[in-house]
Amino acid sequence: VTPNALPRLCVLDDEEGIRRQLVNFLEDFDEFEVIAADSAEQALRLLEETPAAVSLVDVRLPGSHGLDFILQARQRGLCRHFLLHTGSLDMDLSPELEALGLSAQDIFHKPADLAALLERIRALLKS
Amino acid sequence: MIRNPDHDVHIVRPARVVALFTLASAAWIAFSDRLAGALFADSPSSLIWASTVKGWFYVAVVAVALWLTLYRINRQFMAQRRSLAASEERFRLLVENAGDAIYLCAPDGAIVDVNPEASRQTGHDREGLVQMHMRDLDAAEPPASLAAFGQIMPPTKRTSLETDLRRKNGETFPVELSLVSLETEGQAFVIGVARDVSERRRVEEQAKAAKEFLASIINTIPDPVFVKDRLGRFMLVNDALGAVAGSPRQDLLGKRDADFFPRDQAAAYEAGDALVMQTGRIHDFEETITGPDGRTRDIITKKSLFIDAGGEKHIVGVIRDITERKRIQDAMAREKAFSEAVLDSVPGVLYLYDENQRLVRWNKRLETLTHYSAEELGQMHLLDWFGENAEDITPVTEAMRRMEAEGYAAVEARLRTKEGVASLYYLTAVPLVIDGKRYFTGVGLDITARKLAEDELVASRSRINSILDSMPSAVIGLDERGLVTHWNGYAAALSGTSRSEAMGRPLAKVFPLMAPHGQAMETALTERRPTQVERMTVQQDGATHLMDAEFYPLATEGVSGVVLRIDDVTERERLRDMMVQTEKMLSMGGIAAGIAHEINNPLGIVLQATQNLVQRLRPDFAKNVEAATACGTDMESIAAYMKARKLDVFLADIQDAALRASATIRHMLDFSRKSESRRKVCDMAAIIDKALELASSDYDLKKSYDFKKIDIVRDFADDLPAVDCTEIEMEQVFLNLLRNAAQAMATAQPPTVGPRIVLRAYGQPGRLVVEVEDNGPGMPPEALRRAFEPFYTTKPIGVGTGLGLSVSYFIVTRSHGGAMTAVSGPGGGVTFRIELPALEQPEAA
Repeated sequence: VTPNALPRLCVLDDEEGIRRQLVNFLEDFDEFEVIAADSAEQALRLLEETPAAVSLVDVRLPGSHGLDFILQARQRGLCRHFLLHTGSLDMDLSPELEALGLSAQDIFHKPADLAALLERIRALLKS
Repeated sequence: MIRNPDHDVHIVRPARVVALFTLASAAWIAFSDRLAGALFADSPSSLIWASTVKGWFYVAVVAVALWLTLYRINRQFMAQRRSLAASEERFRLLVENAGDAIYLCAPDGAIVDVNPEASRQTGHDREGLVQMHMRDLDAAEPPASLAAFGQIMPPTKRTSLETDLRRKNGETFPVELSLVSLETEGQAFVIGVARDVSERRRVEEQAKAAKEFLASIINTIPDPVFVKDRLGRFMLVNDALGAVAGSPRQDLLGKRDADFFPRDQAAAYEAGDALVMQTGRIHDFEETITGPDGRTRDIITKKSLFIDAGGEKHIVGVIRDITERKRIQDAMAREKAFSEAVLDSVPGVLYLYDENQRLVRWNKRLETLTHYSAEELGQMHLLDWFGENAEDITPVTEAMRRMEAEGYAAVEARLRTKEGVASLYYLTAVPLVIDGKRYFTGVGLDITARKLAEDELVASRSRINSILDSMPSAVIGLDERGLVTHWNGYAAALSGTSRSEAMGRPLAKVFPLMAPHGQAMETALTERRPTQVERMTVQQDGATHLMDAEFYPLATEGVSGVVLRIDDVTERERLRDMMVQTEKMLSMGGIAAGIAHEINNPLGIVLQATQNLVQRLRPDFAKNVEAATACGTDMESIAAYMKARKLDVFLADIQDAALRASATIRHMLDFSRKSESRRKVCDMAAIIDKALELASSDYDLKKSYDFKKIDIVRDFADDLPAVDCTEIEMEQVFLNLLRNAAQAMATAQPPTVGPRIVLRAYGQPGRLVVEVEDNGPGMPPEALRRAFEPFYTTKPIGVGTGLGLSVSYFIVTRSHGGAMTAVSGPGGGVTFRIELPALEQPEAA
């Protein structure tokens, strides 16, 4: 990690529009280096090269499930924090998610407020 | 009284005296000589002296005896002489004082001597009579005494005859003349004793006349009269008895009852006779008698005992024919029994009072009901019945006045029995005049039971009315003509016609709503089956209400009519609609769950793209300024343009729309939740606190108000009952309620001053209650009724989805088996009340 290197964020979503909105929004602040992946497999590959500080994860994905990705990434030490960004409304905080180190503040339901997302990311990075 | 001297003096008998003297002398001489000789044999001188003494002694004894004898003879003679004189005097007195005339006559009838009575009877003096002959006195022609004198001959013969003697003054008088012939000192006489029987004759004639008088009297008496002797033989009867016996009265004499009357009747008569004989008193016997015509009649025989001068007992009887009287008596008795039966059959007491208000007649029931005896009732005064209290007595006295004035009065008064038990009576009084005397009569009915029943009826009617009035339906009773008989409070409210206006009038007139439905009522009446009219619309309180009406035929036998019930079914219909909608939502929720992801992703793009647009149009953002400059413009111009063309508003609209669509989907999904598996025993207080925490950080809310300015009052009981619930759902329920309350207070015009939310949690038997109370403006009834309806909202578009409360309702009632209500106080404010069934306590189980 270079001293002037920005914290890396990883956006995992199979929907291109979502990825584009998030990446564009987050990049505007010049505080993060943002990468995006449309599948868990791709995301894991990217993170293998360079681990990230925070991942924004869609739950319902083609192929591997978003939660599997979190589990894998955590086990392999590829990312410190995970935020759920889900279109499924039954994704409330459950013991399963808590076991992955998520809190209620880490769950965002689509359509999620970008300002709220930003605020949470900054808070996580500060900790 | 002259004493007979023969009883005092012994008659001296000379022969016996001489013989006794001779024997005694001889015995004395012989005895004394022999004794002297023996004693003085040896002394002759003494013997001589002794003989001398003996001689003197003898002389002395003889002298004494002689004196005694002579004295006695003298006394006897004197006594005889006195006795004779007395006897003569007695005889003289006897003759002179005899009540009968005594004539001493020669055998030929020439009068020799007479006593003074003869002079008194005949008027001739003694001297005149002595010169007369008995035939001169005899007035009979020929003189009856003449033959009699010829018949009596000496030595002694007697006869008697009746004849008339003539007085000196020529009058004659009857005599009974007894003649006795006798011979005295050789001379024959006839003594005639004449008794004046004129008095006896007169008495005898009087007796005969009296007897004839008696006979004429008793024969005049129409009732049979008889006198019987000891043996039951008729001694005296009258013609009436003869007529009854069928024989002339003479033929009855000496005969008995059995000779004329049937055996059993005769036996009864004789038994009566025996009784009278035995008791000596007067007896009445009710008997029957069969006359010669064969008709049997009822009689009363009065019999008494008569004992004549000779001590002979007789039965005197009078027979009274009571056949007719008995017939009348029987008829009267029947009539009396009939009228008494009528009186006694009166359903109550019956009385007749005299002008002094004394009870004079009454029926049996008065005795049995009041327990007074007939004797006691005869003493009763009108006011004795009503006790001491003025309030009991005054109505009676007033009724008496009314009766006097109006000719009739009725009063309700408390009559007392002998024991003082009071019963309420309905009493009537009518004045009447009998034989010039004033009375009043009337009847009394015990109305205690009726009064009780009336009171009960009134109470029950008022109960029924109050039940009917408290019913949330219009209940209207109608008789067979369709006229109103019952009209409850709701009916009055619904129709606008008061009960008093409605009663007895046709339904269509007093309740225009029902006017078009006369046919339904007719059908219910005639076919005796319920008929319905559904979904009539009524404008009430500015809202449209739906009414269902049902006509029920009266079920009671013999009573025709219908009961009309009108229910406000607005609420029911609304709930039904709501349930239909909820069901729709449930199925829609199932579909939505499947497509939520697909919708939310594009929504996410819409929202976030909009946010990015807003972000990249910000004039204070360096990258924006850079890009604008590179494009030959500046952010201010762009902003001005945006504003001029309202692009900023459009962007806000897009954002809002996306959020609303998202919220709608979220709530729709809530309906499809199956949360059974996540049930657990909850700490309700903790759940409420969590909801509070969420509410205070809800960004959605921050837009319209600051939750931190609301005064939150937590009022939780210490030992809340345990309930089984899904925490996340209950959290959402409370969050919804808090959000609802906060929005209501914030959007109120004017906004609520000092907004406050009170959260209460407490236990009740079998349940846990949570109340969420705000002090906002409250909700109008219409809104309150529809609060839980899906998509019903009073909030401005965009502020609520109209699903929050219905989801909460759904969660509480469907998912947790609880209840949820909302009430609005009169001074504003709304309280939502949630009840959840408590878990059964282990120790109680």
